[in-house]
Amino acid sequence: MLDVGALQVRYGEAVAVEHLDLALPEGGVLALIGANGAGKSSTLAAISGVVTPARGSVRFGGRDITRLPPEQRSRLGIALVPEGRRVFAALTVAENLTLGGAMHLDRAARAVRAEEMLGLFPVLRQFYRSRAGTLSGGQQQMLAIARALMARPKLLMIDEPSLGLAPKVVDDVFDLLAALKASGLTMLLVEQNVALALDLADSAVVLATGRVVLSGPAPDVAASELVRHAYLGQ
Amino acid sequence: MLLQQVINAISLGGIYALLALGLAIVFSITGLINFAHGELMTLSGYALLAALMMGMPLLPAAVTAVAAGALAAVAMERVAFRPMRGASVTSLLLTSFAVSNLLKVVFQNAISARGKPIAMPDWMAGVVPIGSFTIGVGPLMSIAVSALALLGLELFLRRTVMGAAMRAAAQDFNTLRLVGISANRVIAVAFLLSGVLAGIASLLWIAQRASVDPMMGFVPVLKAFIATVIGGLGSLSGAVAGGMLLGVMEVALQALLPPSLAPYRDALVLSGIIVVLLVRPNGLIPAVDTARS
Ligand SMILES: Nc1ncnc2c1ncn2[C@@H]1O[C@H](COP(=O)(O)OP(=O)(O)O)[C@@H](O)[C@H]1O
Ligand SMILES: [Mg+2]
Repeated sequence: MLDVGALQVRYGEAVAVEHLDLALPEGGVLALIGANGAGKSSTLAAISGVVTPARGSVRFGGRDITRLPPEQRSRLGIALVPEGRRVFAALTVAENLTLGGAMHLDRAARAVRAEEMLGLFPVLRQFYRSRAGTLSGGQQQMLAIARALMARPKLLMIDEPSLGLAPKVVDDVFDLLAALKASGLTMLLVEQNVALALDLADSAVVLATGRVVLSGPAPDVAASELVRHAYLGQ
Repeated sequence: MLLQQVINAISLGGIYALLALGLAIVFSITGLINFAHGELMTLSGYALLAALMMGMPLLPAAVTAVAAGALAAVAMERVAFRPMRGASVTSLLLTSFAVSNLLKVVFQNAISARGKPIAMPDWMAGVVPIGSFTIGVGPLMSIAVSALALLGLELFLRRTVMGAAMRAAAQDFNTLRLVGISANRVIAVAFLLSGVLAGIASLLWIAQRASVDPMMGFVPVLKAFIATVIGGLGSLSGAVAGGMLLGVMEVALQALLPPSLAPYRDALVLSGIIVVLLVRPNGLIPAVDTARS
């Protein structure tokens, strides 16, 4: 479904991602792991269209989308839950959800989908008319995921969902991601908590300073020397 | 007398508020301070003149004028500002100066450097009795129109999906694009709204002066710019508050200053603004910090 070939992402002179290849089949879950600054968010930015790759290609559903602007990629079914959640703080929870589906669903379908989201994230219901900025970190993460799901995406990318959340809330988030996986959703997950990420994922790619240093089925990556020492503390 | 002065102050403040809002909407979304906003006002004025000369009744002519302002604003964005998307604040500012001057020159050469009279209907100069007082119809109508425009904008921003998108764009444009909402469309609507507001302000300005000239938009938009700074650059409620405050200050000084000091009115208003900004450097109602997520 997603095919990234020889991707290079640069910010001016600085190279953030170099010669990266990724393949993600429909229904698969891929974990992208690596230290801070390894280029994980930059990879997601290139797939979502927030940055244009300096080199390489991004293909989605057989179509070359390397130069497509982010809004068109969203309409093709790519959704990103960005690092730091980035809910629209001044807007209500309801308005955040509405915007998530504004370009994908008509008014009636949006209402149905928003109700589904409230079923999936019951905590959002009691804050439905509150400003998103007043929610806790965990609630904002739920809202950010719900906003992305409003569009009924084919590919959901999530950047560091557990960042800054209490352990109990992290468990809630990962329970939800597991349920989404079980429902057949294709996901690309960036996560500092490598044990949780590899547990959820089918396959994994390890990045270091912008390059792939290891990739393969998630259990193999979890069992590798590199990951056990550097990320799992074993 | 006092009541009439209060009405005048609100009426003038309302016009500044409409113009300041137009500047603030565009600034909050694009980071551009559009100095050519005044020329949108002027262009609406000429559109009103043309429509009346072609024999249109006042109301359709007024609608035509506002539509012309809106279309011109969208065209201005498409032709001048879209190619500059992502450029530095300075380049954007210079572009808007260039557009402003270009339009002034076009108005001067294609129409006339001098003012063209626009006849206003007699009822607008009339008065309505309120108890033992009389109040001018013109300023009252101006207040009503400004209030309706503000209310309409508020409803648009609060009740429509596009309105929510515009509020979101002011906070986090990239994330808005990630959910599929087109940057081009949101920016075009921001300019469209600013053009509508400039067009309405133009009608209210002309209603009290009965003429249009190439420089017409310059002074009111300069004042509106000051109003947005007082209110908090990029803050919409701040723009309205700043516009009102400026209108009230001007009318109050006009009424209270002895004639010998009258020439210093604008200097005194600007001094007052400096005091406001010393006390509240980010304006009366600062814009939400867009860097916060
Ligand atoms: N907008 C940007 N401008 C310049 N450099 C950036 C930008 N975003 C990221 N970088 C740099 O690119 C590299 C990769 O960053 P990032 O993709 O955010 O890594 P990760 O998400 O793995 O922590 C880092 O060196 C970072 O400093
Ligand atoms: Mg990151």
